[in-house]
Amino acid sequence: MSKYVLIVDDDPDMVETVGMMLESKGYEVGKAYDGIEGEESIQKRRPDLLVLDVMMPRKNGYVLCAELKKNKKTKDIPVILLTAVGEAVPSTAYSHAEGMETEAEDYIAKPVDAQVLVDSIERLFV
Amino acid sequence: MPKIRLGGVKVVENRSYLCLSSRMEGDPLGQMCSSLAEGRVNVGLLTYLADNAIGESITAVSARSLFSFPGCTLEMAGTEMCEAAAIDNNVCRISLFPHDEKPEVTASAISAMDAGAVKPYTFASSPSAVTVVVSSSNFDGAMESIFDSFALPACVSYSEWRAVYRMDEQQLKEVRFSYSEQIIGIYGFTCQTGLDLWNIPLPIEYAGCFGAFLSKLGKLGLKLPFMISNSAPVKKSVLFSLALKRDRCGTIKETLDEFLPGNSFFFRGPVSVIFIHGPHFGDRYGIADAFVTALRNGGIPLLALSCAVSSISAVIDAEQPDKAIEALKARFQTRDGRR
Repeated sequence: MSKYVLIVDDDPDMVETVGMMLESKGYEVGKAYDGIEGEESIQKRRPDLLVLDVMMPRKNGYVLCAELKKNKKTKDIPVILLTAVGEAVPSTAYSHAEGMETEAEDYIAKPVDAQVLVDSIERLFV
Repeated sequence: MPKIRLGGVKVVENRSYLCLSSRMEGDPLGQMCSSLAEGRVNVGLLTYLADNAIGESITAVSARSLFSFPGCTLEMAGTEMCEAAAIDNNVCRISLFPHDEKPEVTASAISAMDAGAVKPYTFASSPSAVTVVVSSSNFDGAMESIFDSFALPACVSYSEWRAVYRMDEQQLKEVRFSYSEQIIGIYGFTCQTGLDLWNIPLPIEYAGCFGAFLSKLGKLGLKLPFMISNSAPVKKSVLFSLALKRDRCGTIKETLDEFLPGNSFFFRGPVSVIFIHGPHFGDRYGIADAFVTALRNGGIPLLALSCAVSSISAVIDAEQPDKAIEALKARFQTRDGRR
């Protein structure tokens, strides 16, 4: 049975692009377009893995990730954070370091390379 | 009629809109893009049509505020090059997604605006979303009509949506701090071939009939990979430009005659559409300029363009996609370093 990956990003073109990437690799893909919608989607169906954007309206990816990791029902869901952050801008509020503090299992800078994302997902599923 | 189920709606409020129709020998698109990039003005939405069949090109742009347009951009409105200009300093952009290239989604958006007596300035497609620009004075009516026509997952009504919605300006500032690329990172290039570019001018009151025409195309199995429309604020007509499969030309003509009998149209083909998509393209300055400049440097004429949400869709001659992608690689690359 294929693994269920939920993508949460407020950029619809991004959700479709990453969704197609993952579907072509045999994953079942769910889609949500902001943090609140992502949260509702997780309550309806627990994903095997979450691909979570950081900068989103209503609830950003850091907040959602932190909440999931504090909840014993969801803390084991692996989370990959997609950040807009380049290493050259460490002072931004959306820094790599802050991503790590939220206990996400991995972070990847956007634009996401398909193989980098798939490698990360497969590493987390081992 | 059952509502179409969508993934979501995204709104950007308090923006400005500028539409220029210009003589074709000028380069208003290049001039506008370069002056906006120099002024570090984010182009949230841009549409362009090279030829409206009466010797003019049409360029429309939506940005933060009228004051964010550099003076040279506004001055274009008063030059010999510019035939007509229209400005609204308070517009909203509403993006609906995903459309999955189904004409029914865009058709319903057009029909919703018509039912709400809202006259949009512009429609612009991206690979996943359709964006409509309306005057802020029409925003409530537009959104109520959208919630009447579409089923959205998070909120069942406009009032419910309004209660939870907030636009995060701080987020946009963070985006601008986060990217400083010489070569702009993208997810990749995609291309569709075997298309015609249809241009259908209409009196604005016939927009609902155009929506019905599109809806029928969807029922006939056609896809809509590209569409823009332009309607200057003071004009009472709208010009829809759309890319449709060339091998369905006969069906399209018949359907057009069914819903808009006797209406004029003109089309150009064969054409191809190139799509590129990158993170926060809609929130960063200089992206449209990089794209337009790269194609111009590569000698690729743009027939039509839509920069909306976080994608750029460009209509070019059918024979040009490989050359265009090669030209674009000078400014855009996928993240793994492939160029």
